[in-house]
Amino acid sequence: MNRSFDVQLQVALRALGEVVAPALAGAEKHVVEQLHLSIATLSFVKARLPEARRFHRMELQSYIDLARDAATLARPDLPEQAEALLESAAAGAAVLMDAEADLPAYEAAGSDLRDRLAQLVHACSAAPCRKALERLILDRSEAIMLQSRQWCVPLGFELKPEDLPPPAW
Amino acid sequence: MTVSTDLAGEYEIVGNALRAHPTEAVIERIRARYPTELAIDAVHTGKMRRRNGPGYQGVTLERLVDGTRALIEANVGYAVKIADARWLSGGASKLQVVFDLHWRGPDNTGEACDRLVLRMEPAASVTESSRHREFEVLKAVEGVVPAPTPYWVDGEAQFLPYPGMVYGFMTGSAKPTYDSGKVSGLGQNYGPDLRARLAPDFVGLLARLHTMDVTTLPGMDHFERPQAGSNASVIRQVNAYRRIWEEDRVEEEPVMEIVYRWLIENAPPLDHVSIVHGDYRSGNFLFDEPAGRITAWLDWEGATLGDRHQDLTYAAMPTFQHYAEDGITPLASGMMPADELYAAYERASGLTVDPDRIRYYSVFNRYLIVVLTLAASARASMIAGTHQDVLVNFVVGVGYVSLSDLRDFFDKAAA
Repeated sequence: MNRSFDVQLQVALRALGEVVAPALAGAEKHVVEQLHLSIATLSFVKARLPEARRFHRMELQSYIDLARDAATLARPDLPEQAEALLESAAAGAAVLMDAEADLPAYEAAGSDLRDRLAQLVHACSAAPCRKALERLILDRSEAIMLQSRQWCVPLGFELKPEDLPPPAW
Repeated sequence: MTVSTDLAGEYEIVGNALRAHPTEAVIERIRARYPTELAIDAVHTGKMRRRNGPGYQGVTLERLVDGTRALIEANVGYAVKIADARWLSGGASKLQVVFDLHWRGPDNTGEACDRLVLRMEPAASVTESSRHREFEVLKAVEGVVPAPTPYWVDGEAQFLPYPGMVYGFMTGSAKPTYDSGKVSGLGQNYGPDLRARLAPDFVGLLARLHTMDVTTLPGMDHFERPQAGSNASVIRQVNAYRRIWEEDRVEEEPVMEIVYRWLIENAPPLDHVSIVHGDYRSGNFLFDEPAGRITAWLDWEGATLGDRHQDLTYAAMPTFQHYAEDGITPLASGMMPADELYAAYERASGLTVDPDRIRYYSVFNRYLIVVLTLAASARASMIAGTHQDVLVNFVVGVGYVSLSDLRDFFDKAAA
């Protein structure tokens, strides 16, 4: 068989675009719209599938770095939460070191870090570290969000994709 | 003046498995953490409980026609005939069917044939909302703002598979018939000529909506009545969106917690209570192109009683802008620059536009858009909850552009 997912997607996309779409000329508007969106979704997967592992590893590393710095800032005021965040960062780092780790493992580790960072933001509302912690998260999130936007460029929502920083994965 | 800055409760990490199949205890804790209006609470509680039931089942046109007929007959008390029913395309959140109703007319005197629309929720939606509220606000604005005439509502899905309502079919165009030229921007481009003719209605109808006397409005039973001088209703609204973020998101964004806290701590008291449309923007109205007039405002499901600045800033969101022909002037909702919009609105309404409230609601609306894309849309498509998951899922892709915009705007606004 063609083991390549890229080829599998390629043949499906060709069938949908060159055979099914023309046959639907005159069909109800929402039917045609869903077909074109299906093609766009599969095209996104085809473009990003080969890069998914690198993207998720990069994103997880970004959150590990952010979590460690956030924990350092918060430790004097919120030692328990800071410790929990550091444990989550260590777990994330272990996933990155694990050669057997798959995409869901990266996503789960990143998800845990994001939850604990938000929890820390909430916990620091009356703590002296609040301002510095918020500043750190706002600053570091900028680059993370720009990479998320870069990841979504094939979906076509960016007005000037050339203005985004290049992929860091 | 009553100003509250109380946060609603502790942060709790809710795992994705529990979001997908929430226990009653999880639902109750989220309700307690983010208190909001009763009708909104009921909508979201129902949404969460449905996640433990069967997923969205495809609905046939025949099933909807049968349900619609049953709804109408229960209200009018005699047999009616529905003809020429067909799906109505457009919109990401509701199923809509247009049909001709043969009946005795609104005054029950003769034979009438009216073209009507059934508007029904899917199992999950980009915008979970109350059909009762949408029905009531359409009743309230009759004769003030052109909008579909509401006829009957099935708020508890007694006759239809999901809650729905029947309202009048409105004529008009959503897009110009001509090619209005290539400009950059996501918003609808009406072109310079049509834009100039539509803009007075765009501003004037908003002014009329916001200056309605809501203190004496009957029939708004599913709306809580905010008090001028208090920010309690603003906090309830912020909590409503925070609650969606809690219930629907597929991944946390720490910036969202920072912005939420700022929205609570800086919620301005209302200086005037208005009906707020909640989705007042280009693309959400129909118009008569030759006459250059707006014929109907659509999508009232997000309407609330609140602060006029919410609508004003929503109309000027980057998502609904495009640049004028000079390539550098952003046009709010394809109409005019935001500053001109606010000045024209002040003249038309006699109400002031407060820069601090503009700043606050510019953050509020950006927060809302992120919630609806990265949380509500992502979850609705993930659980296969809609009739067009592929569209709803695709919309999620714009969420990171919106989140990035929120971060950038908030960073300056909160400085």
